[in-house]
Amino acid sequence: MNCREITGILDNQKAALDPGQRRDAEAHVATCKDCAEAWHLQNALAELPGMPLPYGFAGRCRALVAQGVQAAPNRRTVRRILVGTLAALAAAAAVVMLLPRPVDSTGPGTLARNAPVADVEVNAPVIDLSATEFSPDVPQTSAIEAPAKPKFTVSIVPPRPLPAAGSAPASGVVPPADLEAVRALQNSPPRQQAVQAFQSALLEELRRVPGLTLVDPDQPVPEPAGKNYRVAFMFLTQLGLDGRAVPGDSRIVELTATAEQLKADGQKTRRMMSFLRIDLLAPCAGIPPVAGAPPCNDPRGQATEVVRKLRQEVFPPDPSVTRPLQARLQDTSLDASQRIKTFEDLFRISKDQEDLALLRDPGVVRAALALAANGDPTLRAQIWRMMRGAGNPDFIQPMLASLTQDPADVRLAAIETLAGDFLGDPRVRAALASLVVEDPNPLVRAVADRGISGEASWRRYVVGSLGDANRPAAQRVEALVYYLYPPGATAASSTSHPDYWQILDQLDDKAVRALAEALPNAGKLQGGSTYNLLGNFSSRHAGNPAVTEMSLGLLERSPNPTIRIIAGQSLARTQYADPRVRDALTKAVQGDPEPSVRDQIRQTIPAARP
Amino acid sequence: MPDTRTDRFDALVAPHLETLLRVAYRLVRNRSDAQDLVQETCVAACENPAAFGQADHPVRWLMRVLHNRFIDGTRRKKRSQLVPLDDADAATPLVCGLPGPEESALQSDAQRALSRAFLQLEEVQRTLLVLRIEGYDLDEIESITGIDREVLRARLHRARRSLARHLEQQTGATSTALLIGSQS
Repeated sequence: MNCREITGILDNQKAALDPGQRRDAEAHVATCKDCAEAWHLQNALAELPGMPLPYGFAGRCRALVAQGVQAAPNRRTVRRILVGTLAALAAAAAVVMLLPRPVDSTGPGTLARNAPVADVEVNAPVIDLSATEFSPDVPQTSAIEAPAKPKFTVSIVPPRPLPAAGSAPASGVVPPADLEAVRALQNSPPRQQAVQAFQSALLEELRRVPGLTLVDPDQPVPEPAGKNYRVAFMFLTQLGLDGRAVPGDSRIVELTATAEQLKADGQKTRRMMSFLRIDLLAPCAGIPPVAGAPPCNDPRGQATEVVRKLRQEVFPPDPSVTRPLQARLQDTSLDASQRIKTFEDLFRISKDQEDLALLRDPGVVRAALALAANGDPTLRAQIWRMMRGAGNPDFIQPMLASLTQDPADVRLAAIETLAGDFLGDPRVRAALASLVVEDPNPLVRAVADRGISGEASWRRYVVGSLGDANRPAAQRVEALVYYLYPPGATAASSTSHPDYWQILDQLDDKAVRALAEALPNAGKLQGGSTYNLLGNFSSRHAGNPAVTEMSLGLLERSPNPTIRIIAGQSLARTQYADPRVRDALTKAVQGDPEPSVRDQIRQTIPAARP
Repeated sequence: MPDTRTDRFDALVAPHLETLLRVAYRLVRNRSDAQDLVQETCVAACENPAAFGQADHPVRWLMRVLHNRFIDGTRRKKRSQLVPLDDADAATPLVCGLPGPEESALQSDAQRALSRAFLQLEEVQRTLLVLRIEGYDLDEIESITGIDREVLRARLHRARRSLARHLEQQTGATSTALLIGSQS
């Protein structure tokens, strides 16, 4: 193939390439830098992770369509709204903050009167939080008491007012010449009205949230609450491309909300909301709509939407959030992949809130067991890991069965949870002991032994297997990789070992030499950790001659350009004083077949840097 | 032809909702924005029954509505320079359009870099690349975007080159090295 044909494929090919065409295309791409760049880029774009259809999304779209684009009093959309004057808002906020009302925690806890729960299909009833029955259309959750409503406090931090007239603005603020214009725009009565309406509606909606207590941001939390949140609203003003305030758009201001969780130890964790763009379009009284701008909307409706998002993404989940998920998990009309995604959502909420009650719900447990029984082994591995910590004994038998019938990675997941949660059960100890002796996979045997014998024996195994020259290279490193990069229940929850650097640094000389010998021949490691481990290992043990030899060998002989780059850059940064290294780098810079390798290494060489 | 807006939605839009969301997400790389975009598209599409009914290819017509809403939305944002009048330290906003924490956590380093670079492209460039990887050929892209077929090739080429440049600026590695590595 030639470049024109490759471009033709990239621009216009509809059907998938047959094997012969693919071979020809890849052969050309391997030799042509420009085609390689375009080819890999387009393929990589296609492979970026996608987004699953959120639960209830179709219903929400339908509801919006039903309301249409004309302004309606009860419209709740995620459309743009305008907010008004900062000063008015600050004043309004100050007034409101002085008058908190206690949350009414008795009586039916229905959500905003005008807002059906966004996650419930349009035809389903509004969920009455005090009820435990659902309509026949919604699968029943377990017949248990309504879970306790979480208690937490929220303080709304108002934005600071505009600088006083005549004062120097802080950096990044509107230039003084425009400040008056902006102030005039923002002080207009319709905008002030919109801001106040939004602010009032927001606080009213927040007061409806079960378990929430509004507090003054400057006062200590009145009593120990489950969690504390600060929601800070930052109101921005639009300027035109010339940097001047835009009169026609004076009512279009974007709003950003974040939430901070203040823990008992004084530490703060910041929970970033999904970017919340809210246009509070003024009630439209007296202001002509800007051409092309979204139609008028209702500040109350937008306040409802803000609170809905806060409840879904920030605040501790209450039944209105979790019950639809639980129902969806148990909905057997959905296929396994949809249900496992729902399970991942529940898992994420549990993890975020550090509360396993959701996963202990009998309905969730039943659904998880059913999924594990009918799903493919990969699903089982995920479920075993997600249920770790929940301590539900109903999982013991299925996991024990997994130990004898599933692939190694699923057995590992079962071992982790069995050893973590149920080591006191004699069946579990017996099964793990049996695995230590009989499992065909050495890593499985070692992890089972770790479950019984603890970390010390596990560390000995990691180092011992690394140094065992009789093992294949991949087997020598797999325990260390498993240690450093423990598999998580979901992609999002996979992280490296908390003591990652300590583990790496504590490899003694023998282990370092063993790793340097085995790593280049180990092939692709799990979870894409090859480059990460290679780079980190090279940098942490740069002074070790074995690591230098390893890097030199990779630079010269690895068929993978990225590995050659990593090796070359590591040598350039840490061993450039060594004449052998300088020679090898010079040779790479001048003669490597891959231009990116030559460029990257050249830029790292000390002499080449400015 | 269905009579009411919701009838039209059920019959003509709902079956393609997943496709719309997938394309929207590819364009904006952010879950909230993708949902916003699709919701706007649904409303716009169902307001225009005549156009929908006359479209030879309903999915392509929906893509056209999506494309237009995407362009309009991006241009509205671009008209404004957002100036924080509050203390910027009080709350760090998520800059609109960047992948959120959840998206970031689900991607490798190379994929995150690619997403960031992609978001630096002009909106039309993004649309062209996304429609291509969705499998639309040049004739179909022309009908969706209104861009002449002869111009499309050049614009696709420029889009890929721009993407490569942004990626290299971000990572310091050439895009090929980064992407080959991420695919190993």
